[in-house]
Amino acid sequence: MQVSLKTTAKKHKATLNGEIGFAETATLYETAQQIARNPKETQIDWSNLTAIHYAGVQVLFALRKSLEEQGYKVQFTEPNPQLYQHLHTFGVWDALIQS
Amino acid sequence: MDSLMQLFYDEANEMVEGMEQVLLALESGEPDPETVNALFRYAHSFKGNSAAMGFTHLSKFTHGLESAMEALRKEQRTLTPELATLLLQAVDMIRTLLERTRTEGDVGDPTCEPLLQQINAVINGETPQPVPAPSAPMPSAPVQTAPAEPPTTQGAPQYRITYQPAPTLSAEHDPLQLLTELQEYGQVIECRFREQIPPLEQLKTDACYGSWELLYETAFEPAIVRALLELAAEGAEVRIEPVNAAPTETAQPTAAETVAAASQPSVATPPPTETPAAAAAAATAAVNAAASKGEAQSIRVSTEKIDALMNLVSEIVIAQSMLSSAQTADTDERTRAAITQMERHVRDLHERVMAIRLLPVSYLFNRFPRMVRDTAAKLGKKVNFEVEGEETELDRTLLEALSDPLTHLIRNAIDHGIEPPDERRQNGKPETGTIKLSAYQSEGRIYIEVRDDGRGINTERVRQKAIQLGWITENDHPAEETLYDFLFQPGFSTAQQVSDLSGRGVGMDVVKRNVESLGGSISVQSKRGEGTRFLLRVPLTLAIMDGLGLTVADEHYIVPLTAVVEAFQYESLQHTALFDQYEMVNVRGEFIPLVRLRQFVGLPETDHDGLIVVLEQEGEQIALLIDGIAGQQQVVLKSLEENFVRVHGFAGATILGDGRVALILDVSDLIRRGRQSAERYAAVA
Repeated sequence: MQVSLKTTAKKHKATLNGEIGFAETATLYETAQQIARNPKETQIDWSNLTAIHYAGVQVLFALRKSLEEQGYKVQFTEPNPQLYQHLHTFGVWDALIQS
Repeated sequence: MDSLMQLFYDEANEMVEGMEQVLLALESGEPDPETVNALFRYAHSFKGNSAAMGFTHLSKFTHGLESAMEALRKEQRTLTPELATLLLQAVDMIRTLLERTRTEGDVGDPTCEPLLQQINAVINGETPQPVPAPSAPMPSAPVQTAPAEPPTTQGAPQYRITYQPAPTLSAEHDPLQLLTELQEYGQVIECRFREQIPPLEQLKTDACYGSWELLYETAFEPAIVRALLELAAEGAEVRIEPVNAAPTETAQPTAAETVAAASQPSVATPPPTETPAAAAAAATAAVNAAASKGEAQSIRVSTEKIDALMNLVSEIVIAQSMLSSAQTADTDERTRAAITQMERHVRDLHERVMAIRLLPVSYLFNRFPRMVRDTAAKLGKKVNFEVEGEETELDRTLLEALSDPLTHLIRNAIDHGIEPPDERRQNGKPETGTIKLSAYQSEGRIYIEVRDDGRGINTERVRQKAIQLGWITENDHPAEETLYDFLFQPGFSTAQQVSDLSGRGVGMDVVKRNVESLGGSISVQSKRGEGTRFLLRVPLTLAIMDGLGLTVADEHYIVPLTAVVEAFQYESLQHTALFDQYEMVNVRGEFIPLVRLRQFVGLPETDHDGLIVVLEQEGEQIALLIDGIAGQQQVVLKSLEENFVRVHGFAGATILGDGRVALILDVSDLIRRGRQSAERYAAVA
């Protein structure tokens, strides 16, 4: 499973593993909707994620915006170096962590 | 091989051919700036595409060639025969390097540099050193698989790129992935991401929000970068603006670029974003991009796919024929109507697939000007090579199969036909001989003619040679046509000297065999002192033809419908027997050679009268006596030679609708036999 969600009373923790291609974006989107329906502080752990389609990146951006509109923060763990380099080079990482 | 690589090779071959043709045109005609520019465009496009595929040796050599030719473009030097020869050698070198990339990788050749030096020396008016031929493949050379590492971009031109991806995302369209691929062709120095992503409730997961602005350094053409970003999906917007123009070896603005950017004050100014040369360089990418947008007027399809489609159509034709044969008197009207409709559709399908396989003969003819030039130079002859009807279309397989026969005929024409300049002068002819290669379509067949204005065939020498070989006696004086037929017999050559081009007595028989194996025929006409004309007749296609079914006893034979003139009831009184098997039949007062099909195929004669079918080819007719006609049908040609041996009198075989095999009669061979009757008849008359 590329996307899993753990929810406690105070926060959500979504863990992303392996590769999230375009097809897996639907699962990520459903998870994001679950989070958005029950907004809390959220941590996105993508330290074990090796690749992500831009459609998946957009879902994370959109989730962050939705939660921030409701006064909650999204925290992104450090991605693996390769993914970080990929996102950083094209300005996506910086845009994602700016809030 | 991936499709991009295949596309590269397809286009590279076209460009190399283009370079060669332009050089030959330049050499033979008045220097024309447009033609020179065309040469540059080919070289420049080739360089760009090679660099894009990571073939640095190819790219560097073409770049060197391009630079060397700059003086030519600036009209500082004219294209002397010596320079033309060297430039043609450079084209050959490109071919060699290109071929090596297929098998050994981007290995280059040690003779590249000396050849460029020699070209430069000639251009600069120095005495060049001779260059050895391209070296043999170097087994120990490092093998580099393509695409190789990107060339260094240090100091390469920089571009400001604005990239708005196509609005819809898909598994194939990932803007981040495309940007990553961009890094393989250059260096992203800066990148700004403009995200316009809505909150989750407004998000469409397959919609693309966001755009990028990049500062990008690359030695490649901007058009290649554009094509890469536009490739994955329709609707991307890409703007590329040059920032500086620091030249590198692979991206140094060439003369062509400088000219194209005439409004630019100097080469130090930014290179134009899309010069004509750059646009040509991006041909590969542009084709892909246009195709992905569905705007392409044409697409490249592998010949294997077309052949597979053709085979399938052949099988459908057989199946349809079987279905038609299966009809009986009891078959209901609806089924009959459906079968008739299917026949029409199958015929239409066949014609359309055939059309896909047709290529203009220029595809083949374009390779001869160079050969004529080199061969004539080698033999010290002057030859003007003319081509006519190059737009005539012919089946691709036939075109390829005709390459060797035509090469041989043209070489022969130069070697034996065209006289040396002094001999021509003495005979009151212009010093420069003419060889004309022409093609045209007539009566469902393609005719290809090789005509020269040389010395013609010495028929007396042919006769003497035939006597020497024991084929005829001193008393025999065969007709010209028969003497010409000797030329196509194995082991026959009247050449007094054996050269490496011709005169070994092998060749013309192979030419004939090759042409006949295509279902074609070859004939020759010649006039002493005036020249020779070889005429090749080949079917439009090898695969399917319209045939007329003929019967003798309970056997079926097929003749091509295009050869059938008429059919009528045979009455034995009509015919005039001459000697033994030589017979003529009187058709409305005209005597036509008669061939009895029963006798021809070794069946016993019958005493009942049959039918006469008059067949015609090239103005010659033959009357074929048969038992009956089985009707007209489309037949799929199957080669006999491929499975058995060449059988004289038969062009191939086919499978009939009822599953039986029928032999296809070779009309040329029947007419040849008939000609013997005609000669006997003429001798007696």
